[in-house]
Amino acid sequence: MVLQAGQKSSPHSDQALAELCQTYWYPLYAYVRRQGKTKEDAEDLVQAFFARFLERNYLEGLAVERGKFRAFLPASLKNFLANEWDRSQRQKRGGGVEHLSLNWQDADDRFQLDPPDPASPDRTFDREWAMALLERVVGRLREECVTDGKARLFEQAKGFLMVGQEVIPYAHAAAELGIDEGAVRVAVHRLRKRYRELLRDEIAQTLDDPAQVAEELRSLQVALAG
Amino acid sequence: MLLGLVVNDYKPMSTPVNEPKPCPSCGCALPAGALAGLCPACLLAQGAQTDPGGPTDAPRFVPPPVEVIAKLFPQLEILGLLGAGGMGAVYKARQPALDRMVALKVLPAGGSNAANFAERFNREARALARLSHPNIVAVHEFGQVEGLHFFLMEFVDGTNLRQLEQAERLSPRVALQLIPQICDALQYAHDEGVVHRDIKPENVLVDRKGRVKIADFGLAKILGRDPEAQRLTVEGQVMGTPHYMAPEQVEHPLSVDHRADIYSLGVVFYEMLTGDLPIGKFSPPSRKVQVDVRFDEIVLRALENDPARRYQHASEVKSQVATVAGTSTTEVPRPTAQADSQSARAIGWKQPILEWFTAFGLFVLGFSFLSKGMGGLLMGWLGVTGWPGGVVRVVIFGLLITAGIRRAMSSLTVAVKLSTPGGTAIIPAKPRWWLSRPVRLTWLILMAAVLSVTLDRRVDMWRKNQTMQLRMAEFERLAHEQPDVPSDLLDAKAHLAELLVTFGPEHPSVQELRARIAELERMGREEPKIPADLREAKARLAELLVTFGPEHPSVQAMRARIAELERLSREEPKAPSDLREALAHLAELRVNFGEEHPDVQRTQARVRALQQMIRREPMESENSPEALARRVRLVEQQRLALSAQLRVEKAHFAELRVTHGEQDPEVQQQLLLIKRLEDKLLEL
Repeated sequence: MVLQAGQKSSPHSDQALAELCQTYWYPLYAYVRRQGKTKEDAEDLVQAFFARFLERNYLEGLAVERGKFRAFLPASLKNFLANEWDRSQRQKRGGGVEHLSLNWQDADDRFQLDPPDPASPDRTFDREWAMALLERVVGRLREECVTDGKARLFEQAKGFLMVGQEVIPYAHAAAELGIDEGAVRVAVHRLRKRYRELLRDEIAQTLDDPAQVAEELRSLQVALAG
Repeated sequence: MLLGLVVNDYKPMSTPVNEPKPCPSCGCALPAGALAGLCPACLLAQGAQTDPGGPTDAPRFVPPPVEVIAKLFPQLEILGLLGAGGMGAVYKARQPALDRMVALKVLPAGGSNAANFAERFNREARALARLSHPNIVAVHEFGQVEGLHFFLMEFVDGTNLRQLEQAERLSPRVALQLIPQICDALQYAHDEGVVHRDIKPENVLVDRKGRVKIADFGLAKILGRDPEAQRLTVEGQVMGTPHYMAPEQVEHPLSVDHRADIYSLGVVFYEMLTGDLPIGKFSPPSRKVQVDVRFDEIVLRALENDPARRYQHASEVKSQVATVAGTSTTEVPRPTAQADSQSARAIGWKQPILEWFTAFGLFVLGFSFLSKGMGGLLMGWLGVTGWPGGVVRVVIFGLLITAGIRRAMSSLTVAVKLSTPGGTAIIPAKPRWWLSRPVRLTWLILMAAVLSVTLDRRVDMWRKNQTMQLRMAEFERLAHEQPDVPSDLLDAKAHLAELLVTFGPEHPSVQELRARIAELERMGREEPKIPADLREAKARLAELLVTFGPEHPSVQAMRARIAELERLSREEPKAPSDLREALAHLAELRVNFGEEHPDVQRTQARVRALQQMIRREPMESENSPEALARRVRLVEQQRLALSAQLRVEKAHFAELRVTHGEQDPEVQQQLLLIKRLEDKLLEL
């Protein structure tokens, strides 16, 4: 997806970029908020950043750069913050007065609801990135299940995705779903397998070299643990 | 607009949870947001695990160590592991009995359905062993040793297309050199009923002579898995991307036929031309790189989603490519004999360097012929002078430069040199613009031009020294032999000796000089008392007559000068020399330009001023005491100036002798200069 988005303006790449924004907007937003910008500023900024992203064909560069999108995105944003955003703001407001946000009550709900995080903006970003990625994976898995008519199974079994195989209460789930335990075992196994596939696929799409998936997975685990 | 919508429409995928619940598994607080009750850390931890007991998961394939393989194959000398992946491991080996290098491919074990696998392996391997084509890696032997299935194959000394592409962007020329060979291999295999199923750059080997060898024919079928499954399941042994697979390979794996290979060929072709994969909505090759538009059609047709709309045979792709390449007007290449010889020539590094130097030498020689100094010298050696010499020089220049460019073009082929476990392969490739052939050719020619200009100046100086010394020696010899001959005649004769050496007897300058000498000799006999300026004018007239004939304006002007000088000698013998010169010059200018010309006006003014001065203060007598005193003062000043100069020149001489050596022409010249200064000082 990232690499597709990097290909120059085709309907396909536009769509890929739209998906990209959908998925990774929030990590960037949280990152910017953590840097002390107001809600409105952060929204404007992230939007302007993505706009500049398209204009400059940052992603086209990425295809050659052989890097991780997760590392590339905040680096570009930092660069954007340091150079272009401040300049444009200065022009708009006249004078580079530091615009400190003191009114935290205005900040959006989700940001407030996240556990208060003393970590650096970078660590926040990685955390949020991992969450956004998981959201997307789970979202895709749910969609696939809904398409296959297994919406109920998904809702029942999604919790099993985060526990080891050995502790899954198959009998209980079988009773809930009203099917036989063997079938539940197979279905859960498939769901878990598909989840892993989608997870790796989604990660692979943010990497230029699919061989780095395992490494990236470990980095994400570290990000969530810390 | 798109962006505005995207970001503004963004909403968290579910409503925020008001009080965070702890994760039942790890006890952490569950986050708000779309994960809705799922703990991200635990999710990721589970996702990171590989399922050990999955029914379709391939076990991780660990290539057996070299020692193990060596024990299993005592008839081979195992030289090392060439590579490993989900499709097995390849070892480089030597068959001592046949004294040949071979590649030993060991397949991953078949897993639970081993019997099934063995059966399929034997059936397919037999089909593969039957394939015998110069562009297909030959299977020498296959079998099973202690449960390990293996192929003994031809060893290809070279690299694969993926490595080539990674080393440097391939030029369309290289692509068009490789594609027909891939087509040949595919067509042959398809005729034999074998489908490759996994054509990708990793499987297209290129040997050191630029020949394509396709590896792993039908292996995908033996292993019974599609590469996509491998990509997702075998951690750490990624087989690459599924981008080379035809859509039907993913959608209906059971109905795959040879046309899937044609799709993969299309992907490989597209990637070779553009450096990118044809993913999503991709632009045709000619939009991305400079290739013939007709290649777009070939590539796009090979990439049709519906097998029925693709080329039905690999040979069709080949003939289409050949047709387009054969009539192509763009930079693109003829993939045939010429390209082959080109690649053959680029192999090895000595040849290109030799050619580069040859080209450089040819350029230098070419420019030398064009330049005056060296060219004249070379033509002197060749014995051609005058205007034919000029023509010959230009022709030789053209021939040498053309030959140089041809040499240079072949030497400037950028070759990718790759180190592979099997040695190094050198393949011509498309360089970056600043390494492109026109740019480097320009540099080469510029360098040659600069070098030849420098050389030319050196040669010119050397020649001038030579001829100068010759002329001086001749003058001294003549002066010694014929002490009573006037010095202008002596100089003319010495000059003639010099010109004869430089240009030969037929040169116009030599003819001119002969006429001058004849005239000087005639005047010496017939008009011994003639004033020096008149004498010079008559000698010059004789020269002009040879060059231009009697009607030429220069000749007319010289005649006018002579007439004026003669009149002055007759009528105004007392006229001072400056006035005399001004009047003679005026007469000359009048003939040349007419009365109105500014030069004429200016000279007239000069004449008038001189005449006025003479009327006002006639020249003082040369013997007046004031004049004598002034002359003594003048001589004294001159002597002082001269001795000062002499000191400077002597010091310079001492310096030169150290830096240049006793025999250097410059040193000799300096010595002459010093002698002349000393003579002058003595005279004073």
